[in-house]
Amino acid sequence: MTQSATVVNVDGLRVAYGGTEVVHGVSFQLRRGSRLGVVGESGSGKSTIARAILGLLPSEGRVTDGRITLLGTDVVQRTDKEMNDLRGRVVSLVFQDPLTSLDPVKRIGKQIAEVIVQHDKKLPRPEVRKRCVTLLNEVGVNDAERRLEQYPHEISGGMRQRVLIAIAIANQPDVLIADEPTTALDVTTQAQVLDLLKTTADRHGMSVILVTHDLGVVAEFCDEVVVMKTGEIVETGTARQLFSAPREDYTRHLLDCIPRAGDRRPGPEFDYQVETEPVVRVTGLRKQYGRTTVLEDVDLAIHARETVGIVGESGAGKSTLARTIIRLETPSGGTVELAGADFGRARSKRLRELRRDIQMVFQDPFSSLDPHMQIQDIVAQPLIVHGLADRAAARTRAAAMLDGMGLGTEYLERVPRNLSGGQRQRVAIARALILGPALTVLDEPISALDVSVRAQVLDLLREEQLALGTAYLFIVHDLAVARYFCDRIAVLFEGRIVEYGTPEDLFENPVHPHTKRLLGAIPDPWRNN
Amino acid sequence: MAVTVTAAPTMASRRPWPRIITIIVLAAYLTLAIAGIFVQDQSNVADVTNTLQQPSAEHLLGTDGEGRDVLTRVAVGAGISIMLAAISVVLGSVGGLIVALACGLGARWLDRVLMAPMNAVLAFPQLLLTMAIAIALGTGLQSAVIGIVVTIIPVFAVTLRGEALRSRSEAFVEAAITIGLPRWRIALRHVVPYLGTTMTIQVAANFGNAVITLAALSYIGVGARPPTAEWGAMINDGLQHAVSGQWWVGVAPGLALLGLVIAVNILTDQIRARRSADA
Repeated sequence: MTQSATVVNVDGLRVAYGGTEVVHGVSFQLRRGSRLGVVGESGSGKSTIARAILGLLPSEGRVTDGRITLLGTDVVQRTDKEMNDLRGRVVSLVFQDPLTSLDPVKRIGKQIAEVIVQHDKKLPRPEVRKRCVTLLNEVGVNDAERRLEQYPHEISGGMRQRVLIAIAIANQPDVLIADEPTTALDVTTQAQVLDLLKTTADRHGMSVILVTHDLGVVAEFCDEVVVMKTGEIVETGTARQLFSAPREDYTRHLLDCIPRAGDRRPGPEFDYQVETEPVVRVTGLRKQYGRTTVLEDVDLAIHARETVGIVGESGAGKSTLARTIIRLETPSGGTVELAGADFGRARSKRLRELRRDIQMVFQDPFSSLDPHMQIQDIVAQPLIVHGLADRAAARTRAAAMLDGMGLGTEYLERVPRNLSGGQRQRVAIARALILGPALTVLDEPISALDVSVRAQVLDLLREEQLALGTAYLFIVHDLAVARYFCDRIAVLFEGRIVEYGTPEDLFENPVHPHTKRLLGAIPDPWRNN
Repeated sequence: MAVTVTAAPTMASRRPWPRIITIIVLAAYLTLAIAGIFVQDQSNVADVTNTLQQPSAEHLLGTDGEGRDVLTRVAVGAGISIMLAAISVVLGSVGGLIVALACGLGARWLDRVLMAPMNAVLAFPQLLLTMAIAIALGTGLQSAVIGIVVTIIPVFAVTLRGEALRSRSEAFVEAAITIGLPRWRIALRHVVPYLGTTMTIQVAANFGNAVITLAALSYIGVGARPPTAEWGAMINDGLQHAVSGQWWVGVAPGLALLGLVIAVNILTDQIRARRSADA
């Protein structure tokens, strides 16, 4: 490898926040024109490295040792002013969250123009505008002239991410750093954005560093990969080698956590031949906000021990469906029958009593547990509320439940902030299942978790289902997970169920065009490699 | 979303000195106030032979127009200010909290009915309204406290109501609903602790405010009546002597008031900074 071929060289990099070192001597190179993936779970230091390269460490952060060179010049020693000159022109960043990284009170056009003018102050106005339009066209934003006049809230998430990419490539940088660029997007948009990043990088000869937790994304996008864990590099190699023959246990473990085609959760399949009365029957469910209809004519029957998956893009109404069935929202029409009772219309005391049979696990275990309560009380609370046990007995049962989920007595008196994401989600699951509900609504229960604990949580959910016989309504955006875990899958599109069947039916013979589109967008690490 | 969160040391831990100094100052005021309880009897002992003495070893802060020891009276005044401000803030915050919970978690009509008078009170300048209430109820410290409580309740109600409304969309509050917890239990068990931070900051901020308002009312003669050793009344009394050169009579309680309010305000800022660093 000649010197000129390396655009970014990170050598023995150490970064500390305050007195705590979080990156312990990391070295890697980015070659011109290549796409490097930096993969790791939360706390691996991957984002810190990206920020260090850009000279954008938070104020407490410091490079304590090592070198970062960008096109042969050192980054660490540079002043902010010198870095400002480099950023945008030589290296630029695509942020994770397109909603918060755009200024909500400035028009799109102005935000793109600012970056162009920053590095070419004499450019005449009409010329700047023309460049903006060209950029938007290049990133696939239709109707570019009009978009320039719009504000960020007027366009969709995918569109915003495109605008961010346009801003990042405005000055044709040599290196593009993308920090979780697709994490906030749904599958189909993710596929489009990755494709766009790839073609733009190729066209302009840009090198890309992609920081992500998602191995599927890496497989789609990168040719070289750095796997990180707690501030150190675990494995470096080409994407092909990594996916076909990982050298390190940790890498293998991460790969094992992605469900592959043909993988199936443990336990017997649900037998549809046996006629049983469903525990929950949803008929003609409709939900409107003002004049906007979010759900229309949804029919579902869910049986004991059955898992029904709800898949669809963001905005399809998945969460609204979950929230309406659980009665966090009141249905605008239709019925939700819970073991024969009219749950959809029950009120006050009757509603609270019926809630015993229908529980929910929320997406984000960081916000769904009261930060002021001890773990044992969080799990014991449902029993006390429904008068099924006094405080002491409820705590004992909570402790037993938690113990069965791998959270021993040492966790009982802790508050949620002292638990990891995976542990918190276990607590949330324990709280939902301790009542032995007929139906548990799982709203994206693993998507906020690190890759390596996702499989554990899914296994746990399955174990509990086999033991308790609860039915699951599983809201999920990840189709591979849906195929792995569900007995039947409903595809939701614009508030309606457009297709409903077993994973096999759906994946082998998708009928609705929207289903086909969803399936085509799943990143599959083993397809190309 | 698997966001990479890297723990950063909290900013509050970096420079401990301002906090330590504030706490020492506040502790000094408390000590002064407690000492005031023991010398209460002497605070009104006039000594016509010793009027308007300059600060000296015998009278550290001098004596006033009736020969009373200024330091003794400042100490007694500290007790009065701290105690009455505390009572006002406790009553005001509890009242405000109840209104906020009812508005934020209750039915929409209840919210509208309760918020109308709150906003009406807030529309008046706080000090002016407090004064009017105190005058209407007849001068005296009790009326002053009632006036302060009435004007503080809406301040708490409005800020806490916003937080209570926000708590409704917190996942842990929704989780409590799905468990089947009745609304009032959700309010007590989950929402009140959630409001704790805002509540603490508001209590501290309004405490300083109450101390000033109380002194202001007494200064213009609607609060404490002479010969009560209240700071505002003492400043008023000291004013007539300041013209003739006996500055210490008014300056001593004035500085005492200033010091307490500044210390409380700094403490408020520190709490606020620390909470936002935590979040």
